[in-house]
Amino acid sequence: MTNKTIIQVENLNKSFGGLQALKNVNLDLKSNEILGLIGPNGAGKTTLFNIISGSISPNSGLIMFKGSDIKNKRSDQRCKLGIARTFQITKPFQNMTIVENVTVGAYFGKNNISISQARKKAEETLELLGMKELQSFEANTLSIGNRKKLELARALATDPQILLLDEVIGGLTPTEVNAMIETIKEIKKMGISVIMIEHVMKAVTSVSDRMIVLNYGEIIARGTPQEVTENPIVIEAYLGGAKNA
Amino acid sequence: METVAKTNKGKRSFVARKEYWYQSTKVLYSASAIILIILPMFVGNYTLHILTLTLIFAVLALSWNLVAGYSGIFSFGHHAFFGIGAYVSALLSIKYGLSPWFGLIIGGGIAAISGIVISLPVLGLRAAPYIAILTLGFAEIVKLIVSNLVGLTRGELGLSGIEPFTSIGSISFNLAHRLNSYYLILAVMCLVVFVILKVISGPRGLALKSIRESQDAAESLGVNLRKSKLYVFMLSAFIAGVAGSFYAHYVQVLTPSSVLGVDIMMQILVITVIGGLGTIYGPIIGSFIVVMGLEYLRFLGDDRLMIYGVVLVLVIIFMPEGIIKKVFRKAK
Repeated sequence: MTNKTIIQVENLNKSFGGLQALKNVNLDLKSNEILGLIGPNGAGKTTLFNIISGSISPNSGLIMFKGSDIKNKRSDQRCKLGIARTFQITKPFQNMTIVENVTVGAYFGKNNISISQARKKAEETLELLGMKELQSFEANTLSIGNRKKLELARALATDPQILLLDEVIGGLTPTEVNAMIETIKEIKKMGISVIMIEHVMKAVTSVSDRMIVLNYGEIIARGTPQEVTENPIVIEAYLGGAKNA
Repeated sequence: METVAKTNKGKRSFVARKEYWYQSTKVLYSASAIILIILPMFVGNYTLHILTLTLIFAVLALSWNLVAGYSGIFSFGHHAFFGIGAYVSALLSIKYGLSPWFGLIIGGGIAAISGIVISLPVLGLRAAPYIAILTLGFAEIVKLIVSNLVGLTRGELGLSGIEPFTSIGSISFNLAHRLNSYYLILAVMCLVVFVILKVISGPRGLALKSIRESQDAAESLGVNLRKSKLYVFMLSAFIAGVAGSFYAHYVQVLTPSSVLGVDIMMQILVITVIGGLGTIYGPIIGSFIVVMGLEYLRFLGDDRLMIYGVVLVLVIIFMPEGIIKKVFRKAK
């Protein structure tokens, strides 16, 4: 396993009007690493994802992907470079079949792929996630758990190097949670680096190599899952003090 | 079979429901072939004229459906492309004696270029109301320009004596041979349906549909929104321009209000919504219902517009996905 930095974020700032959503955020992601991103609601986690994936631009700061600045690239260009994401509020293509949904990712996520290759890739991805038998149903028939899986399938079909997972576990049943944890471990084995936002602590601590905690737009702690969960500042931010923990 | 159909009534179900004889594609295709190809041979000139207008509007609605139904971009200035196609082709034939056959292509081409121009500001907008206002404003500007360039277009006096399509061998397209004009627009419509089917079933169609469903998700998966939107505006404006050009050489009279009025846009909208937004054959069925319905209710005077309104409301309440999907479930 190489320890090459694949994504590097430096001094990132973003404000929405008077609200500073991110303050001097620095982070790096090594190749083949799972980075857990946690923090209370409104801490700026999804904003950070939106900036890395290119759907909003920062006020200042640097985003380097494999050593080159990607600040001026649009979302679709970043996707083709190898940065894929899922959405916390799932955005399935409702009136399209499951396999069509995933084919969009497979076809447009990479250059030079034929539509039939993309379709095959989509079917393989669905197979991997155990959704093969659902492939010809329209996406609007899916349950929440399967919608989250569909988000993941679409992103995975783009053949990414980095996967940004925005709460793919929250809202799942306990069985589904375990299955999803296994899937994320599989994804790591495929050589993909992952940043995951998650509130389900059991899940995020069990798969993350490192964790980062955001609070009010600032990184307040970083380290291994154990270091982070035992950090008094983190407990303070989450639970309002150790005495309540 | 019957019980399956009964238990699933009103529910979204994974079990296939009973298929009635009239829902089979064989019946559907042969019925349309009879209605569209054979029946017109036995009708009078008046009915033939209505049928021709019906198909012109079907082509126009098909082109709008590409933008609104498949890509989810509600442009309300589509009649501008129809008018531009009509005026460009008519003026080229009147001023420079250009054959209407070339006018059909050039009219479509100029409409396509204006489609690109109007799509540029639309690219930056995501909220439907702004797109609606912008495109509607564009169409009004086109109408004002055409009405005020009196030297060129004779303004509201209109253009008259526009050449009909020049005859091919013994096949003439003047008003004495309406049947030929009818078959010509039928051929144009079939070609348009073929092109749209091709586009929709290919990668472009996938991109357009994904944009309709969620622009954010589409972009995050690598779909180039700008490119796709430019493309769909250009293609649909071209088709609308061709329809306009055909209209000019068929009716042979043009005024700004007859081809650039906002009521044309209303007609396109109603046809598409009644027939089925985002379906291939919806706009055609819709056109038959709306254009023919309005024509044959003419004896009611302006009261027919009330019926038109009531039908639209009923369709939106009881079959928001349009008639075609209600009757033929497999329709896409």
